[in-house]
Amino acid sequence: MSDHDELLSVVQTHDQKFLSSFDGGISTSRRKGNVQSSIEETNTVIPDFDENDDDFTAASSSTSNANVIVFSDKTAAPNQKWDATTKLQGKAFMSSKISKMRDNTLPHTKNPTLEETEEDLKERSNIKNDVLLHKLVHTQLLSGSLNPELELTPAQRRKALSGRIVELTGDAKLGRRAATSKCVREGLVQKQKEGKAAQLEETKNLGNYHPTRRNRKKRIQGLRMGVGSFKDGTLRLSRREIDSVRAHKGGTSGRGSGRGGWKKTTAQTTVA
Amino acid sequence: MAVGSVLEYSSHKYFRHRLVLSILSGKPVKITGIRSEDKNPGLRDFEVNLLRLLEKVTNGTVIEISVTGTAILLKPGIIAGGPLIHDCPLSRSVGYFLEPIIMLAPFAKRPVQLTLRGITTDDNDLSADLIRTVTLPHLQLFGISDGLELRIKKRGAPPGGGGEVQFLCPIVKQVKTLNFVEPGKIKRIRGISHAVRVNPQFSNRMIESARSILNRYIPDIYLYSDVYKGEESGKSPGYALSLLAESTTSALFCSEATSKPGVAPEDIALQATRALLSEISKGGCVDEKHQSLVLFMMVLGSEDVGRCRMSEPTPRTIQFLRDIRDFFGTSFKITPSDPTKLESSDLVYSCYGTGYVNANRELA
Repeated sequence: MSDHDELLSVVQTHDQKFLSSFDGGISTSRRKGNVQSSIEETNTVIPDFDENDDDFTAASSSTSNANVIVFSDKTAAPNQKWDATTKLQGKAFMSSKISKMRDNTLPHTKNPTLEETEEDLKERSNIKNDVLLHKLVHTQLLSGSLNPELELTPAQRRKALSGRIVELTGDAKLGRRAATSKCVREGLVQKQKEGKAAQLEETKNLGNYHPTRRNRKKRIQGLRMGVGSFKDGTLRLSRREIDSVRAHKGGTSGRGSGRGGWKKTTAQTTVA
Repeated sequence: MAVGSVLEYSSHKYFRHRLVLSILSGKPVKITGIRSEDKNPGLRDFEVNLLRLLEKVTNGTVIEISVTGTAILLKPGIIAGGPLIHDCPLSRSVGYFLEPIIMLAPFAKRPVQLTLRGITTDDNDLSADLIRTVTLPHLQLFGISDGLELRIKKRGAPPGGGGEVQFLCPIVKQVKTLNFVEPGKIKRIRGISHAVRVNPQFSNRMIESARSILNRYIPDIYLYSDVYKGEESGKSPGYALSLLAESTTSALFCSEATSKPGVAPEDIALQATRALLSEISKGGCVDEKHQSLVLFMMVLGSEDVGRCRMSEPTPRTIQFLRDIRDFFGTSFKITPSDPTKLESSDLVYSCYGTGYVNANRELA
């Protein structure tokens, strides 16, 4: 038993020495009686180890006499805040464009808190819009079909409602004022397609089909100017155009011998 | 353009800036006594190469070199600009050739698009990194910024070289007048550390070593590790650290150190860091290496008083100021910036701009 007590006291002294090497504030607990006087006990609260083990309170202002040397390895954390702004600044610095390099004097600080509030704003506006839509739908927008004065039959009422919905969604083209329902619209489109296919068959049968004639617009009807342009009362011809007209003069000399001496028309010509 | 007034100089020193002043002012220049007492007399290969480059950039320039190579006569033409490719010799880095081109390019007929091949980082001249991050932003002070670019396509360390840079510069009608008298306080430090054809850890080691000193001063420090691999890393191994500090009034200070055989990367980084701190301690709004460029642009500004606060001029700057007086007839007024403060050696340089207008430029 005495051995046990000895060992216990050795362990306790070791404990207390270790704990007193801190700021003197934390004192070891009462361990069944043995309170050593070597510990500095300036306004310490002696915790009750049995019940709340981790609940010690350090002393407020007892400074230790030892010189404290802090080794902080700054290289361990080279970037304080590796975030989007630092990356952007880095990219701007290393870019070859000089104007881009200097633009980062005002970094756009994207605070995460700022983003959250933006989302909050969006949410709020969405909720507001939902409420407004609900109100409108139930009061004004679809009420045309619900009007009792028109004496619509149930079928007519259904058609009017679906037409009104189609109008509201914007799918109906304003020109045709169709206000048709989806199945009707799709039916019409289908019929158009079939008609086109039938026409294609016809042209093939007649032998008029050629792939290049596929997407043809209407050809320009009527006559256009032959050569030159007519502006300000004068026909303006370029040298090229004149040459293109006169080129065959030598070739047609045989034919023109009978009717030699033909004159040019009296229109005023200016050579551009 | 005063024809017939040939300015005569001697010695190989201040070679580049005399040629540039001649081309811009239009006055022919004759330089004699180039290394006449030397064992290898006459022009060096990089000087001849520079003359060839200036011939390419300009149109109508006549360059006559004497038989022994110890004298040249340059009759300037107009600065044509446009797209150009030039191979630089391996005796000097591309910075040597790029500096005079930077002074000429804004006054060209067409925007310069110059591709230079050779060594990109060297002991003697500004490396391509510093030119991109420090020299060219100084041009922004004078209104030259839109379209100004320096792309480092490949890196090349000495002696093998193999680097390629592309310089794009817009043309301006006239440079703005500078009024830069507030140096401000240093707000951030940036750096570029690169290593080619060596262990990439060297780059990180340099960064850590530089941070060990710089972290004491300001929190905003970021050193970038620029990695080029394979073909783009040149032919020889090497590594370097370039540092620059920016103040609240956007004054820039720079320093750099390149690898030497037998020296650890940590020591290289410390060398660069200490050089940067000494540059900052000298004060002013422009650091020593860029004094000439800023003073040059001030002279070409509009007809108004331009002012800049800088540290004491280097011997190179002093000779440059003398040559400006010869070519342009403009002299600077240099006064201490704060007569009450005896320790501060800052000076305010002011001059009356010549109102140089780029008449070469292609309109529309």
